[in-house]
Amino acid sequence: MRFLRFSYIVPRLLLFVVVFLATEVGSGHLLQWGLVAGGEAAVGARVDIGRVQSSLLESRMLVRDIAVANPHDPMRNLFEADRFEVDLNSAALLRKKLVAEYGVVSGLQFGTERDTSGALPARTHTGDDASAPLWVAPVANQYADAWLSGLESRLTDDLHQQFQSVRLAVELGQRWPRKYRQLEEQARYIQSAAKSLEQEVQTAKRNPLRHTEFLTQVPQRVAALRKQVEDLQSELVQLPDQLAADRAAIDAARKHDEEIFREHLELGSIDAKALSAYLLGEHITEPVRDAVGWVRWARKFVPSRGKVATDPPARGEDIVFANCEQHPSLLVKGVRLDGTARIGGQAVDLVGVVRDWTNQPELHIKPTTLELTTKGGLPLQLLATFDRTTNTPRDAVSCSTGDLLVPELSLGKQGKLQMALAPSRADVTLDLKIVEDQITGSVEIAQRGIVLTPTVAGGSLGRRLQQALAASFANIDQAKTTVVVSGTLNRPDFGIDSTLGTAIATAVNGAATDLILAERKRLLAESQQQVDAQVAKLNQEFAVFEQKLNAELKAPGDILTGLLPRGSDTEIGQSPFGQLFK
Amino acid sequence: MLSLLLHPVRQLINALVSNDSPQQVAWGFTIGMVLGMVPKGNLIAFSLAVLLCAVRVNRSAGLLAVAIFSTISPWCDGLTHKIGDKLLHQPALQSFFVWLYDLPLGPFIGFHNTVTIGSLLLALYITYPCYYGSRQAFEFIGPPLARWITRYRLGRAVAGAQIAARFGS
Repeated sequence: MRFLRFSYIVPRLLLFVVVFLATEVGSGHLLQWGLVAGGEAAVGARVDIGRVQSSLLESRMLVRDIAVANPHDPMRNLFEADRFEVDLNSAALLRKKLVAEYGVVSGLQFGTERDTSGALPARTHTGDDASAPLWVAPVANQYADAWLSGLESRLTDDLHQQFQSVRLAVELGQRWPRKYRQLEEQARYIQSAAKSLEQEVQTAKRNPLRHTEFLTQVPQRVAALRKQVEDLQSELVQLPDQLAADRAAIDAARKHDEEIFREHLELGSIDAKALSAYLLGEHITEPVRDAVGWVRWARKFVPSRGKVATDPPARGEDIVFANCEQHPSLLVKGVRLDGTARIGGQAVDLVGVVRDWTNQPELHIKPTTLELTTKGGLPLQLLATFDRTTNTPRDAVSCSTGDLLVPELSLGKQGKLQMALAPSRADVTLDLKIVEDQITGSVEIAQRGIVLTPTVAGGSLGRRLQQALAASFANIDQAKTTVVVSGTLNRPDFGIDSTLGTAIATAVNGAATDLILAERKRLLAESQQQVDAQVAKLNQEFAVFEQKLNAELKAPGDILTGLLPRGSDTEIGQSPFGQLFK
Repeated sequence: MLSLLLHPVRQLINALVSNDSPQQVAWGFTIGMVLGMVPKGNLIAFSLAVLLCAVRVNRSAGLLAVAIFSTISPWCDGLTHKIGDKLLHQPALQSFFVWLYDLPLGPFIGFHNTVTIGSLLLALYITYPCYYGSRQAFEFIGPPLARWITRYRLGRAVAGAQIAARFGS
């Protein structure tokens, strides 16, 4: 002992004890600061921690009242937990490694509301969340939209007004009477002129010397009137031909109408896939999009495998011994999760385990896994694996749940074909695989107890279609929908295939086609009836008119014939002076 | 600044004129030599420093040796790297090294660095010659040199009040 210098050793030992005690007391505050700063940097939103207790001697840490804000919705928490308790590996701590042997997160809740905003000041949005992706194939959506718009226009258009033959018949029905009136007026004029001429001739005959000039002109005037009578008669003779031409025009218009109508009311069958995408698109892909978003978010916390980063020593070379255990600087071997969540509107108790999470996967041989199961009414199992044991990141997420309550949904768009889907139950199976950035997988939803109520815009036809659809939909009780996921993690593509879409498409196609065919037949028959009536009326009116006009033209003809110079009548057409001086 | 520049000289004078025996001075110098040879920032260097301070050896001689051999040591890195590399790649010792490395604080020992372990081995190899030589030196050169220093005003000034007090009493 005489070799030791206690005057040096004892004060330093005392100093070491004091520093150790200070660390034991103050490490909680230091850890709290570190966790908040590190958490905010990782999540991009506020991280609130109530209190941190830690002990270097016991190598334990207890974090209370954790609230991590949602960076996309600052007034909500991404999650909060009452307490997080973890046992750290003291041997690893002595090697500057933080290895959590076992931890427990209790009182875990997701999506709770915050009193204050969780947004960090002066943080710019990175925009790496693939905002506004096209979740449903736009072509299919446009196609279905156009089909339904076409159906809507067929149901709402006043088709009757579009018949050319009816329009022409109505027009002819107005034009011919005008013609008749015009001809009748001409006939009456001729008749009046003939009578007037007859009276004037009789007056002149009584005193021929005074009306010499008039009497000499009578033959010309008679000839002129006769010419008018003949013209009118010849026009009357031509009228049947004109009428026949007009009837032929009506027939041609009718044929044209039928052709146009056939085209106009032709309703192609809607593709079931397109209709599925149109009706179910957002409702079905929204939860899948959320799931993909969660995977993307979770991936940010599981870094890719990198090279074992070691700082080169200032002098010499650090030898890495074979079989030497290398720990990552941060490793969570197992954390038990215990909390509540709302799934499909139902509150469920969640229990789960996170295993083998590390910030240096290249130094750990196991993939990170997350297992979640529910307790109580809604059975749910989720297994997520984030494998970084090779250079290619491979992730897999599988989730299955049964008897999930699907809330009331409104499928389709207002103003077109819309369907109200009453609350139903569904079994959901999700299976996603991500290799590097490529995502593949599917989501299968088996719904039962489906009650569909259609609403169709478009007047009386729409109501009839709605009734027909309601009758068809009564047979649809269950549906199986498969969403195929492909593309990249940031821009996933979804393909929807649903028996519901197929059933709806079949029902809509059948009902709409039947309805429109019946409507076409009805409208064509109605228009034919109208045209026939109009033509018959024209024929009848013409017959009456022809008879009447012939009668009206007969009287002036006789008068004019009587006014023509005859052998005994030497006064008309000749000058008395002429005979005198002859 | 002047004090800082004169510090090594004062260390030397303190080593020569202290009350410690030549053995204590020699051991202090030897431990300082080993500490000076080994790269710092590892548990080997830390332990040697604690050893130098905690045992009854001449600390001034040790610190003087640290200063001298810390300057010389980098010139020997080529040699010490080869020695360390040879040792650390000995197949028979691999399991021992793995066990040692996996101990708590194992990576902080610093033995897995070729220059550290090579320097340590080289220093240990020259420990006895260094001890013997320094003891001889301090036995025969120390007292007359101390007297010579204290004879001059400058020497006394450099050595400080400590020497003055000692020889004045």
